Amino acid sequence: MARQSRPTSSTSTASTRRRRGETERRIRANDREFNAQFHYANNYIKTSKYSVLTFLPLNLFEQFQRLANFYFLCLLVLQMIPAISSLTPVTTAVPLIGVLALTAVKDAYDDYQRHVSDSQVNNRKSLTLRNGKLVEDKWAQVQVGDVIRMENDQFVAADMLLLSTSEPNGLCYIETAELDGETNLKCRQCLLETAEMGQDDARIGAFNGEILCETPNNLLNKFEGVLTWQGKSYALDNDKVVLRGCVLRNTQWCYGMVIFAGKDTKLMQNSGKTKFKRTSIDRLLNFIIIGIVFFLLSMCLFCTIACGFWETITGRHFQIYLPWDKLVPTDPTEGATVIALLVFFSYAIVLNTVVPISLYVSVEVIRFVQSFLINWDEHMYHEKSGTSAKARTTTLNEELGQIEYIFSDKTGTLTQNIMTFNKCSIGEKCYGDIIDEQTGEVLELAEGTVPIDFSANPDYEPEFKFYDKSLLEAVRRKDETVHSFFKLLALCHTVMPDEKSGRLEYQAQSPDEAALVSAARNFGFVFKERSPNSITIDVMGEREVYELLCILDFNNVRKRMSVILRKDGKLRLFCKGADNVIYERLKNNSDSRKIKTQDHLNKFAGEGLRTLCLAVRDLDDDFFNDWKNRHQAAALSLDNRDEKLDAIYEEIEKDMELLGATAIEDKLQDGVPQAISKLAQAGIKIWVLTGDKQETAINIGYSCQLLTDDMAEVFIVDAHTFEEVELQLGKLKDAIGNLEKSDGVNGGPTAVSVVTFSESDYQHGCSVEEPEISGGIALVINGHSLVHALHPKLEKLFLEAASQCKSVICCRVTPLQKAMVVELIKKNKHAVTLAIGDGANDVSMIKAAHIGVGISGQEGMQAVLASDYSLPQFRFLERLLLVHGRWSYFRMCKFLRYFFYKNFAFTLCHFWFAFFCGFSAQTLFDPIFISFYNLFYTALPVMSLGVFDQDVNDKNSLSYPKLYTPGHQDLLFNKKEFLKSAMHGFFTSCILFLVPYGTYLDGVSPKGHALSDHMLFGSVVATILIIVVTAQIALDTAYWTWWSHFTIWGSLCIYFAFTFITNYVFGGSYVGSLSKAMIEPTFWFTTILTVTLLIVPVLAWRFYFVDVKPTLSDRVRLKQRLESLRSRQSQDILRTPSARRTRRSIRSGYAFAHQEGFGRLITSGKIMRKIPRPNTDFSFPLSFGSTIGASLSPRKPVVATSSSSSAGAFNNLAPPEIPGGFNEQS
Amino acid sequence: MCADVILKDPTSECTCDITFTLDKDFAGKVYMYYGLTNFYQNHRRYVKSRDDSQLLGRLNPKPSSDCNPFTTTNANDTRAIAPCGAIANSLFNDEIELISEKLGQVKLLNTGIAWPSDKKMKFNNPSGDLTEAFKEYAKPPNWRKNVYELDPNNPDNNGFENEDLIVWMRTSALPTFRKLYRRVDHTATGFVQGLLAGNYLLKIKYNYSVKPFDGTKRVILSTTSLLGGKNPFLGIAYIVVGSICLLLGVLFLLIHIKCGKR
Repeated sequence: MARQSRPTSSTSTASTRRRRGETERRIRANDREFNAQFHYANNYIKTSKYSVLTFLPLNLFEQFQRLANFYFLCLLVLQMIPAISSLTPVTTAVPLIGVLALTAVKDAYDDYQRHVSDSQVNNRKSLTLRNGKLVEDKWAQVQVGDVIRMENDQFVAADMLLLSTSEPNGLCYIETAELDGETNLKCRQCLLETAEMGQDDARIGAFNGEILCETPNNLLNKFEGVLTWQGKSYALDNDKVVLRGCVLRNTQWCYGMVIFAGKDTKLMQNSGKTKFKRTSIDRLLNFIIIGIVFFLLSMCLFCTIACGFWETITGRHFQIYLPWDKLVPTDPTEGATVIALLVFFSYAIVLNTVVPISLYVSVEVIRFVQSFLINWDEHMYHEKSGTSAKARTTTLNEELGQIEYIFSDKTGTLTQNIMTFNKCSIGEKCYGDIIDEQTGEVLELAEGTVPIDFSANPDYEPEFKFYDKSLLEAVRRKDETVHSFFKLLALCHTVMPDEKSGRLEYQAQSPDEAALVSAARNFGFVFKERSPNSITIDVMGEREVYELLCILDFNNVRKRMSVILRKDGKLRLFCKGADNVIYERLKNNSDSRKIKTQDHLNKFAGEGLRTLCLAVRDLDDDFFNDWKNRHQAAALSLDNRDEKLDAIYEEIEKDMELLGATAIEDKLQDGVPQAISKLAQAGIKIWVLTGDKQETAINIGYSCQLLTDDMAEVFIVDAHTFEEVELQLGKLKDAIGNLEKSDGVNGGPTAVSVVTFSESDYQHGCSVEEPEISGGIALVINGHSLVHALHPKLEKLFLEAASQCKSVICCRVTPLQKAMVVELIKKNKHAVTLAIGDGANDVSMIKAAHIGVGISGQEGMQAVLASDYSLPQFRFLERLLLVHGRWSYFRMCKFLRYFFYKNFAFTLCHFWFAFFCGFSAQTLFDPIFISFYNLFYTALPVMSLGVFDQDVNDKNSLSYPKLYTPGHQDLLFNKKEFLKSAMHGFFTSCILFLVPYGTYLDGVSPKGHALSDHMLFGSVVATILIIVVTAQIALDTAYWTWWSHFTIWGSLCIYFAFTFITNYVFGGSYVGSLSKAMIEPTFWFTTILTVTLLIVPVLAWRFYFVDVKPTLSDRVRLKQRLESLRSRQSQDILRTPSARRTRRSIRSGYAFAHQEGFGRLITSGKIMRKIPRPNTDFSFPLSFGSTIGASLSPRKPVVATSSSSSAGAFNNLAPPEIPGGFNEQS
Repeated sequence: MCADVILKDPTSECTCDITFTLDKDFAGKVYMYYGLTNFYQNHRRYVKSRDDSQLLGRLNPKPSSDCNPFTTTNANDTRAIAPCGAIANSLFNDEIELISEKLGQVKLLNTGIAWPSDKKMKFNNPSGDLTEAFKEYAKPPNWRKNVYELDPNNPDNNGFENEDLIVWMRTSALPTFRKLYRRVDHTATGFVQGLLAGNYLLKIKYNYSVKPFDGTKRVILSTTSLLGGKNPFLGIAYIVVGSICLLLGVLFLLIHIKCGKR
């Protein structure tokens, strides 16, 4: 498997740059002094950014790199200059310090967490050899060249060269889930020469080999180096190296020599810095802010010019009462120019509140609280695993409401990665359905259904559940076919038995095989043990030993595997494989069994089960011996061995007799089909990217409703060359074109959601029609074709075709390809993408997508650690997107619209005032009011709106997935919506200024006092502004909680309380102004007039749109309101789209999910700890596996050491010749 | 014209007489205002140019720099100005008398014209004898009298607590404004009912120059109602807005019946 590493991370480039000098690495084992001269990194890991001392300067530096913070810093500096300052610096300083402090606290907390996790990792214990003695040491103290002892189930501390292991032949098993997400075991083998040292600490302590190897890099499956020891040199490759992050499995102990440590390890080199993700709203905001800044500057420019004119025309003459500043030239033109220029900056300060500093903080706070709402959602709590949804990144919530593409992993995400033996067909009879005894109907599996009790069998597994009693009865009846069937399952496989705490356990490299063997075991056909040439099973308590003559191993082309066994002199071939492959090789007679079984196979496939056919053939000795000789010859041939072997296998795997078929369920996670269909209805495109085989992927596609029979075509792209892929994609495009044409004739696709509210609906609530979407094309593309499809030349074609398909399944893709597919869509479609996965192989995709979701509660944590959100189950994605995502988006948009409105309404009052104060940058409002407006007076209600508001409750959000679509087109907040809010604010400020202007121009109190002074006027406008803005938020709030009441009324109270306190208690200069205004009726009349003028148009506008052009959201809300009015009734009438069980097309699924090459391992005996009994008859291993699977096959002896030829090497490794290892254990 | 006389020599005295006729009685309390136009009391530098601490009676040889350039008299004489700043310096100082043809001099009150809250909380005289307290301080350049001589008739109406000063210091919001100048004393005989119809003479001692910046001066006599002085704006606005709301109501009722979708 050509797995490529992830794109080079910034860390690795940095570290390579740092040590550009290092072109090779030279290490001497157990020689710290020698290694010290090269200054290799030790095993200490640091992911934290700050220390106590560097925190303040570094953090401040980072914060001021944010444009907004820097902008406000500049403003603050401007305000310090007396000639310019139009506001006291406090007005900017207070919010700025608040913002900086909040962010600093958050950063400090994050970094503290990193410190904690660093020190946890660095303080793990490892056993290090020091002067021939094992010493317990911290991970951080391990250095390059040290020799470490590791024990079973321990994490590997650093990248190291294996020296010796507890297992025979220096083998060692590791799990690499943390590294590449593959959960199957891999084996590594050390040099036989070093393996001899065993666990003799003294010998290993004296080991002084010298390694010359490559420099640190991030390629996970490549290692090159040479070991020089005792005058000989040995080539080293990836198979002799275990990497940090792996876990040792099934190996009691092993010794290794550290090659790369700490940040040089391949794990760390691969963990690139997580990219800082921003939402599309963030980007839009930045654009808008820049736009606002330009608007601000143009306002300032306007004021500057106007000020110049004013000073020349009026101000110059007004100098008798208001002389110009000393620094201004006395010449009228010059003076006016200088003043005007200064005013530019003064206005920049006065009007800066159009770019609200509190915006960023408020957005962050809202997202933070929203994240908690996600974390606390009981509906996303998975009881079985005890985990709940978690927002790991708190800054992306609203993007959850805009997802257009979901990229999903299959194994562990859509499926549980549990295979269960579900049904079978044996000799024309189908087992597995539960049949109602009275009616004879097939019953659905319900909670209460009791599985068969297998406890009579001493080797039974309590986890195994089977419900059809008739099969067990058939077994007990000693039905011959049934017995043969189960014997085949117990014999024909490559599973290894293992004894763990007294219980028999199986180690299978594919979960399918494990399921089959364990099914046989529970039915009383227990696979007990195996040796290179024998298999022992227990049939109903009786021991049976079979002589294993040959394993005809599995591979992708053959799609089957066979074993040839001898018992009591009778030779028999057992074969299992894909149905079409087996059927071709059956005896040439028209058997009713064939037809019946085919029916059953179709039925199984229709239920989304993975099927296998089982067949046997009796052989006679002569034929077999003849065949064996030819087989041997083929196995030893040097060229075209694979083809020859296949041909030989073909000869013997024919004229077989069909036994039956098995059906294995690749269990989907709960609710996956429903979730997928809901998400699809919400207009989200779901792509499955899986490393699995095409057949498995398609199978799962059907069972989770990604593929349906309604589809016009399931198009498969599986070509191997560029030209062929181009051709296939072209065809696909044509097919789509044709389909569209025919659709056009039929009046177009009907995928429109229609909500009807008829008269009668009022009686029962309303019904929503979601017409079934029929037709469409699905695309299945293979990894090797994807290589070409992602080529820059084909990219466009692929994208065009794929994005028009209803669903896309990419199978056999590498992690890198997953990321590339995501990047492709991200780059070209400008759509918001979400990637969901559970394994380390999904990490790259999770990091690449706008939003990464990890499935938690699985073994590996890599995906979760890289993700932005973690969910316990795939089905919660539905709620995360349709409820939380939609709400977050809705809230954020509403928040932003209101926020800009209120700041425009507030700030532009100064602009109108400029026309009356000679463009002198005098503020209309009290400076205290200006600094408190965004902070205290108007912040809380809009925050509570941003956190709690909802147009439609969660139940309806889920019932009407179409409600999700506005997010796709950015309908709720875009440039147009922003302009609307800004204009709203603009007119609001205009009326806010003009109405009091009219009333207070000649305002006089009944006692004769003039009421037209600046402070009173400012207070009046400010008070009306607060009232209007609060009324507006009350109008905007669709969902009233006690918190909204509290904040909305509270804000008004706070305004009056603060104004009172600042003026009367602290003696502000505005003292008395507001109270004077408020005791006059004029004020109240003005207020009522202004508020009416400002709110009535808004009401009218909204009424018009809700009444005449209601959106889906409006309708559902109306329905919701009606419902709550006449609460009960309606629920059952509302048709919730149920997951419909469509009949699936007749396909053949086959259940080989494993890799080839294991057969040879078994017959060579290499992976067996003990050989039960020496077998003299068949000392020569018969099976030579065909191609060698990259990660599982035993390693070919490499270059320098091995003296024997490649063919002979197998002989060397065959059991009798193997030194050490084997017999010392038994 | 007095304006020109003043312009030539700011210290010269010039009196301006204006006669006018009241067609009907001004019933109730009558207030006299002076109005200025094109006078930018709301200019940033003007608004800023005061020292609130000084006005609270906390005299300091170095007043706040906000008062520049009216902090000290000039470069040679470093006596601080009290009250400092451009606002105080530009105090309106015309003296207006109202004479009724029938009843003679109309008695005008110069107290009760400032807001009580201002008088109480924002303006305080330094303790002790005013003349003594302000000895070290200069009067603003434009002023003809010292701050402790503003009202020769009423010793309590002097210094920072002088109501004319307090009224002036409450800067106006707009360049066209009026400020309360005097109240008619309705206890005097003949004025109990208000100001009766008849001919009147305004005698204005012309001190205050508005000519250079194209300003105008007005004298306004006004009675008040619950809503204050005469101001048609609110009434008209209410009628207009009310009608619009009514229209909208009808319009939307029609829309709702005709095209309302449910």
